[in-house]
Amino acid sequence: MSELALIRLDLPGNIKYLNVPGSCIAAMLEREDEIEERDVVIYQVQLAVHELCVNIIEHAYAETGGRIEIILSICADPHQLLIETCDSGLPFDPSLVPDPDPLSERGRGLYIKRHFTNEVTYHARGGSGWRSNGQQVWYRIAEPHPQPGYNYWRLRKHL
Amino acid sequence: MEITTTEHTLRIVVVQPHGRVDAFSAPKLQERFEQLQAEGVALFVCDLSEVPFIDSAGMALLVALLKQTREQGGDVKLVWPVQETARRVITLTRFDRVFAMAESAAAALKLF
Repeated sequence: MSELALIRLDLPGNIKYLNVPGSCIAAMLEREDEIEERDVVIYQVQLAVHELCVNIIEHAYAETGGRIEIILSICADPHQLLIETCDSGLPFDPSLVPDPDPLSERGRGLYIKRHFTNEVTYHARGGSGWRSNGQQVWYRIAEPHPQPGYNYWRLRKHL
Repeated sequence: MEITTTEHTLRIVVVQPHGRVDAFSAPKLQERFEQLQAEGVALFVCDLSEVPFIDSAGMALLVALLKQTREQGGDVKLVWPVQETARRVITLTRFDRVFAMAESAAAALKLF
């Protein structure tokens, strides 16, 4: 898998800056060749990353602030966008979060992330890892933690 | 013969946000709804036609509004976003099964 492009962002964990990753994603994908339904892909990735950052700000950091490191990389074979984030907030177990009822006021963020990407991986700080492929529920993984000491997310979106 | 005629007027307020409805902007929209609810309004059309992006915070706001208004005998109808990408979020989260949806504010008013 050869890496074609990598962009690194380091954001304050504040909802004020949530429009920054979305602009960067759009700019990155606008000039990428061979993306079917480009506008749909851009929107889905923007929303998935947006929800991920909101989760980190509201839950991991519990609105007390902190940094969010985001790495966007496009790979050629298979053609895909990887979005990785690191934060030093509180870890959690995503498998304990139920899919939202249409009338529930919370829980849509994780659901949107899973449905608008092809794979979501989460490694809790100092602990376990989970993965969800598209619409599947979360399952535990035994892979080594890519960034020990941080909560680590990776979203994979086929282009 | 006596004829009694009474007239009843429903007050329905159309609220139309322009732009993103997300975790950053949702509090402003929520504040507007709260002002109207404080004035006694319980029937709303939220016109999302010019909303290109709505996130889970925006959807949570609308669900909370729906629950509050229904408790008061009111209701909330939604107008579909024009952008297809935003419409997909509405269908993915099954919002269109919770809210009565219309293609325009005029059509939404007829749903009451």
